[in-house]
Amino acid sequence: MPKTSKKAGKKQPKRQPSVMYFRPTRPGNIDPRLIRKAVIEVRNERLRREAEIKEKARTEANGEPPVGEAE
Amino acid sequence: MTRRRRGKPNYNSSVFINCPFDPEYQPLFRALVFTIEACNLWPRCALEVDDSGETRAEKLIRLIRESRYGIHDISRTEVNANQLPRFNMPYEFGLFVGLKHSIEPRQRRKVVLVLDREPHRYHEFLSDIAGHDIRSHRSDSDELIRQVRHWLQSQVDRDLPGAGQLVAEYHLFISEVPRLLAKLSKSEADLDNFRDFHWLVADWLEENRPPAARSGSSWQKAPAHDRGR
Repeated sequence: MPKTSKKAGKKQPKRQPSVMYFRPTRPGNIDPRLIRKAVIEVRNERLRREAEIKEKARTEANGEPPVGEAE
Repeated sequence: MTRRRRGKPNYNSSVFINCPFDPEYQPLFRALVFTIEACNLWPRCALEVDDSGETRAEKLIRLIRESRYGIHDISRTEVNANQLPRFNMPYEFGLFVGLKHSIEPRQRRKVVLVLDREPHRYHEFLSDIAGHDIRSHRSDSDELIRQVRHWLQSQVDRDLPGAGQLVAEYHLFISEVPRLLAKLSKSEADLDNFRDFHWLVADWLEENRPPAARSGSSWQKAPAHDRGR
């Protein structure tokens, strides 16, 4: 019998496994967790740089001094 | 962040890459792996296995049997310093086409793309392959991405990312490789390991693509007749 929520007749969504990658590795391969971590860090650094450039352009367009130079 | 759902490579999602593995070809090889992965298919090649108990021919035949798609780059079929021709790519291409004509119904669904550096160059050394889908990449990674993407789009029943998007993503990825290697305390030479490079590409795409671009992966939408095989 399928599981139902408290709301009668509503079927619960099937739970997805958290790790979905099939990653055969061998001794000598880079740890996949380190690869994921590096990718996320590099992406976040790029997004931070892009946000800073946008913010600087926005403040300059509004005629305001860039953040940090106000004083 | 929603993760792309992936399973083991199956027949319908595997793309066998038959190309040179030398340093001169490396930029094109990396672009090829990136494009296949970005189209939500599995790049497979002889470099993924290093089991010494298996001969090279056995390894190749197994990989080819497991792959529905075959991309064969014959652009480096030329004489080497000893004035001897390189026949590995035409040999593997022949294995692939041979299996395509086996009696196994699954193998008969194989599809082939042949890449060369100039249009019609193959007439001079491999004219028997006329009739196959043969495209030229002019030894340019952007052109290779475009040609492979357009060919894959003609083979799968879902929308793939546009060629322009793939080229832009590839350039961004390549520009970030030095920073990624620094984080991993690795050098450029360490990316010669196919598995490491493949997972780097897969993770990069996973973390840098908007969720909409990741929908419709091949293993979620495998043709009904091939599910469960």
